[in-house]
Amino acid sequence: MRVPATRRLAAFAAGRDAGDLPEETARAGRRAVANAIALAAAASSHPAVTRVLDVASALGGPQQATVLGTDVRLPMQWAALVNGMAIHVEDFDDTHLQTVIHPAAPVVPAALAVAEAKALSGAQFLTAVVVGMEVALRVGVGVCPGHFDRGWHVTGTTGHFGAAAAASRLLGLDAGATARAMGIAGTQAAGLQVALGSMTKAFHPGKAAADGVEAALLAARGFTGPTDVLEGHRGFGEVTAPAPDYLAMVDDLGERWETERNAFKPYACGIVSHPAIDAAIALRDAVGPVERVARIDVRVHPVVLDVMGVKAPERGLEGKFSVFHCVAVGLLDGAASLAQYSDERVRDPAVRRLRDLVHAQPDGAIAKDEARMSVQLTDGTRLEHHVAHATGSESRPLTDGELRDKVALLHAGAEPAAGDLMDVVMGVDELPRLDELLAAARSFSLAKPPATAA
Amino acid sequence: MAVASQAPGATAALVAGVLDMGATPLPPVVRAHAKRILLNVLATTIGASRHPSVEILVGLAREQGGDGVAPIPGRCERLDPYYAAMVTGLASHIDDFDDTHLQTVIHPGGPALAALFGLGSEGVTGRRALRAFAIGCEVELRVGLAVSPWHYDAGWHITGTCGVIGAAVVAGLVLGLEPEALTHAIGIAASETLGLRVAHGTMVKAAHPGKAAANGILAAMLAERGFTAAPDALGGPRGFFDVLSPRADPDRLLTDLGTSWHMLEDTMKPYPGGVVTHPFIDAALAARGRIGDRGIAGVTARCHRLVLELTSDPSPSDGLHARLSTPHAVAVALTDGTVGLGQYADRRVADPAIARLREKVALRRDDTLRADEGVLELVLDDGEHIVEHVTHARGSLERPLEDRELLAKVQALVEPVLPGCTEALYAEVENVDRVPGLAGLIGVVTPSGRPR
Repeated sequence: MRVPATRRLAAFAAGRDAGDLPEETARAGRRAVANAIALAAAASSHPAVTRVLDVASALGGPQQATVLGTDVRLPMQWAALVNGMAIHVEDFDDTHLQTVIHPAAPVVPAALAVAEAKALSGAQFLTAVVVGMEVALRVGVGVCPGHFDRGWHVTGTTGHFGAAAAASRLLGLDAGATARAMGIAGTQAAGLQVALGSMTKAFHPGKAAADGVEAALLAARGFTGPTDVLEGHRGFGEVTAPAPDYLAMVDDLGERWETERNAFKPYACGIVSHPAIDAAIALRDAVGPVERVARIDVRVHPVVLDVMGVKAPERGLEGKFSVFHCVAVGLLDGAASLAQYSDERVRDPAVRRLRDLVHAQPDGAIAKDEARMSVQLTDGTRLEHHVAHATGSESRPLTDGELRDKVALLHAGAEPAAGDLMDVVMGVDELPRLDELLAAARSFSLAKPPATAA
Repeated sequence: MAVASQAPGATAALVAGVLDMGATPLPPVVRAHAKRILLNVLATTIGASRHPSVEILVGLAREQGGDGVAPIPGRCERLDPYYAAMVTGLASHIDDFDDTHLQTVIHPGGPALAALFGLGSEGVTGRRALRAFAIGCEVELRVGLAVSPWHYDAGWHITGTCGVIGAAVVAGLVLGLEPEALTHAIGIAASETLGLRVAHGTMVKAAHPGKAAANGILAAMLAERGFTAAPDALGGPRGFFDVLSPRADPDRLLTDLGTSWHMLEDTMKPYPGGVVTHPFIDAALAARGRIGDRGIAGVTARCHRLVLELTSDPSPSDGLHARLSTPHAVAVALTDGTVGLGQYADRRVADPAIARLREKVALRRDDTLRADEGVLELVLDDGEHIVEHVTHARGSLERPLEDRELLAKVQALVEPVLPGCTEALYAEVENVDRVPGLAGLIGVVTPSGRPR
């Protein structure tokens, strides 16, 4: 007989007492929330986000939940939709490296919307976020890599389960109703990889969040649905994955946490170029004025040139797929945040000059999170650096301090608002309501917009 | 991983064809059939407008939705386009009495109607509305044909997955989207597919066409505002065809688009319930007269593989499950001599006499039979054998419902909800392409007065 994965995950999501999380797990949850909320607040004026917001506003409904970084309040599910988009739209959110799921983008907005609308505590919110992310990741571990390889955007598909679990918990649903909510949401699990490179990609986690909230609201009203959507005949596992492993979805559930393996990107581009950026930033002080640079050689894992091989990017988005641009801004700015991937920065003559000096060499002996860089100066000096494990990789996670720096960089010069936001999120467990958190996100987004680096 | 599709521009080609069709008068036979589908699906939607699942969803919409003008057939609430589409699509399908394209098993009318009524209740001429409805149905079927039969067999509820694409097309035509925006709308919709067959037997099954329509509306509204999707979300690598059917045939999406209409093969059901149960209902009704009051010892239904796959449950727990049970269909047909909504009421499903008869019905796969064909073999207590062979079920393409049969069905569905309105409904649908807007039709299908 198959493992009753749906009911087990539902019981796990519904059954845990608020605040009953191991400290390491709770910390992983707070970090995911901080990163997500800062990203959403920073992206609240992104054109993809404002377009979704415009549709949601046109549809209307009760003002229940806040669009992060704004004063706009929408019905729960539409707030979740817009915030889920905003968290993911810059491709700078958290990543569970094994499955490539970005769990915060679908789960945090679903939990935030319901917790705000129902005036629940920070501890209840954080617990819902953590169990929701764990559900999404466990489902992902059970269906990947085959599910991903078929072309599904895993964040959109598994996010439906996580968002439904988180929203159900906050609506006070029992295990049976939570399983139904997962059924109502799970039948809608969607998101195609063909959308990568368009606004629709970030729509996936937003839709997962919205559908998850809607499913929980329907289940609460007695709408019936399958309670075995994952493992049932013609269910999610069987239909969307070649070799679903239902045991992996529930094995040591509540003891071992995939949520703790969630990683945070220090740089606003594809993860494979991160070791090269680390190396460039590490050599920045030794290099001094960039006019001294004659040539830069970087040895990287072969996949880097497959996905990051754009030689002469013209737009900010193309810069995210150029290891040459990444290395150049690393050396020039000591950073690779949103400002480094603006259209202006990509077209800057100083950046162009430096990136043309970058020679990237694929090397099968180099690991994915590794890079070797050699910078030759005009006086013949050669400077070298080896990155064994990139910042933000599983072997070298982002520290809390580095996460704080990342948040501050999202709005160059946003201190002290960024620090306030981090402090509020890191103490979220103690908040009786989420008002303070939403106010901190609002202050952060009102802070100085991204400066074009000099 | 599946091989990338061979039709790199499939989405753009579909859009070009759709816009051409939208700018051209429908062929008379298509126009007439579109009206038939519309009449039938309006009736099934009205008939189910008080179903508990519909009440739940309307309750949610009134709490969570915005102020809107979109009507719900059979109800007096006006909702925002998203929730209105969800409610209408749900009601269209919950009784499993809607139209069916047997080759794909798509029920195209519900998503198309729900998208049309969600967005097109004002400011759209009747002619444009009927065109959008017909083209939307056609697109659903063509997308479905391109991924069939693998896609349905793998476990997808194809009305949801293909319905969302057709609904986006209806919504896009109603909004008057330009080619580029319509391409994006289809692309967004391709990332909002839904419908796992594990949901069969629950309210979620009927929520699939509803949510497909709501998602299609979202996609069109987003595209209207410049939101972008992949250039070829249907045919591109890791796009709709690639991911949802490794054996997709994208040519079937486009072949003879605009000249050959698959929606002409969309048929109307004579009985509520899974379409593959219908040959056995016909057979049981025919056998009944030969049985008289003698007892039945055993029944064997020799059937197409889909009958076993979809409808073999001998002990359905309620009316929704019973609609997907050939044993129940046979039992009520033999007992009652008629099969309508009453035969699928929860209390009828729970009747011990029906349950005992269901237990006597065995299904046996016979690969020589088509999906609209069936053989029912009965053994009576006195030892007599009765065999009924139905070569084409009533309501199938070869034996379509006659106009008077369709009208009788419509009347039976509409009258309990909107007494005395059947004739006016029929007249409004017949006239729909000759009037300046949908106000007349909407007036007929929505009761006046305050929400209950």
